[in-house]
Amino acid sequence: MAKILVAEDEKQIADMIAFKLTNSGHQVIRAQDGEQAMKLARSDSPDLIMLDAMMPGLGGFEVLRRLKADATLRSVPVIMVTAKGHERDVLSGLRGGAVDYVVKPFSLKELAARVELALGKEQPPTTP
Amino acid sequence: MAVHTGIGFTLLGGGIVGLAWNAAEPESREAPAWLALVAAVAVATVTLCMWYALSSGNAPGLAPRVPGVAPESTLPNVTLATGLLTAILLGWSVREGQVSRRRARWLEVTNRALNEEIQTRTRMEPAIQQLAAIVESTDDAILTTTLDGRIMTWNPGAERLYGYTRAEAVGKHVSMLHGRQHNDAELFRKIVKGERISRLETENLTKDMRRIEVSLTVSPILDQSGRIVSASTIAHDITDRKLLDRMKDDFVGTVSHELRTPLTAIKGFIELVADGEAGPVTDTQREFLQIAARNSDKLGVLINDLIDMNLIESNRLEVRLVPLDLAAVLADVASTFRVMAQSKGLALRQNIAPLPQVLGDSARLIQVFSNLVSNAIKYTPNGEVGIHAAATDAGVEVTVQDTGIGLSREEHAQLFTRFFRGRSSVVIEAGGTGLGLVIAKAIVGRHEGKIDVESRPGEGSRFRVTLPAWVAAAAGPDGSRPD
Repeated sequence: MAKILVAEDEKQIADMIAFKLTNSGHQVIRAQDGEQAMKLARSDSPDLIMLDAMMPGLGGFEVLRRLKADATLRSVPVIMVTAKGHERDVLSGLRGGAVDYVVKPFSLKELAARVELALGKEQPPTTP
Repeated sequence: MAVHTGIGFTLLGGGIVGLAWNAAEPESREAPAWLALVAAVAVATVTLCMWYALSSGNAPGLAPRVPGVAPESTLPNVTLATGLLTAILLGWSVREGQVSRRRARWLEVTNRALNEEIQTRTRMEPAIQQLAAIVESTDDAILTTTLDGRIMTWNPGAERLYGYTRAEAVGKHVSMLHGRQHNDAELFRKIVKGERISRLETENLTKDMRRIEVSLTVSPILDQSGRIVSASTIAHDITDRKLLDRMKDDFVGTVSHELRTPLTAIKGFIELVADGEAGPVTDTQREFLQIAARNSDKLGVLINDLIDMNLIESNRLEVRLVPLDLAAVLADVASTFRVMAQSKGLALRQNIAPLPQVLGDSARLIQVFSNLVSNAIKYTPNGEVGIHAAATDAGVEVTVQDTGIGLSREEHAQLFTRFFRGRSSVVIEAGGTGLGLVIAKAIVGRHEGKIDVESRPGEGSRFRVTLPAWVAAAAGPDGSRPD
């Protein structure tokens, strides 16, 4: 069982992901925006963070940048969730240190598989 | 005796002149340039000979002469003077005749040329007037400049677009319109070399410092001898078009996001229920949920196709080219579609030879071959679908072949145009947007490859994609190519 932080401003999408991951045996904590995600990442020390790219205020990519710049949070694997399949978004996510990404609309089975992979995966060296 | 010698020489001289005259081109009747000289020299020689003959004839037996005293000594001197004068007059008159004839000819030629020019101008007058009217009335700004960029002419379109009157603009440098968006010097260097700048999209400045977006076409103007003497610039205002483009991009971006989010929820919750994660489901419920899931997948594809189409139209379709093994890509596609083929009772055969590496974007190439294979399965009621790949001299050739409904000549011609769909019942039943092949063609084009099709109604279709092999030396260190 892992503790997973899901940062997603769309409540229903967050519900759905939480339902699936809880059913898969994980504990889910939820953030509705980037600021809250940063706060929970520090206070609850999750094993994995899922970040929606488009959140009001602090966006997913900015949260990713701050996480990777933080010495204690740098090693937590991050999966980006984006509604844009643009190459550029995907690449900036991966270059920014995310281990994986999923593009909306995604399949929940695929998402769960990627989560397991990320939890088992060793952290690649990151370049802040 | 001496007198006779003199007369003899005179005749001889005259003969030389006459021969020389005849030797000149008879038709032109124009004495050649050297004739005047020859004539004069001949007369002068004759005269000198006569003078010598006359004076030497008198000399023997004469007392030393006293100048002005001996009456018999005046004859040679008179002869000499007369002869030399004649020589000068002859030379001069021949020369004059030549000059006047030449002048007359020149006048004639000039006159003819003038007449021709007047005729040409008269003929061209309506055309020139028409052109002038077009330049005056067009909404595009049309201006001519010197080769270093000084404005020479300025049409009303330019007055409207830039806000400067003709009087204000003529004599100024075009850089006043350009801001810092493009390099004038570079542009004029090209013009001087005879190159044309076509539809350069750039930003210009108006008199009131407004930024406008224009499409510039700058061409060299040649004189009659073909020398580049000035430059013409046509500026077309594309501010509105650019604004519309941006609005469309924003719209498509927003819509795609706004559509994808609810679609994610629909797809996800259907999946949760169908998988029994929210409680037990009956077989009928599962079947219905699978129909809903398939349709939400179709919506997802449609949204992606629309986004891709928007990228293609605005020339922003990005491919990230890295050296890759196409055989792996094809195997991946084949395994994805095996179930779909089996469920229709079709055999999916693959025959993939060892292939050289190609420079490609694997996600985009999977999209291309998925499209071809899914089309083949969709439009083949029975028989088989084959994926073949082989190395060629230039690279790799992949064919996706089916035993399906095929294409009529008419369908064939329109196949790669957007929103085109066949009219048979099979096509209508299969559904689709008519964008897939357009997108596939654009993606293959970005890989510097080609896609074509051979097909006959009822005999199946054969789509062929050729991609160039990757030559390590021609690519960058990571195999990428600048966009």
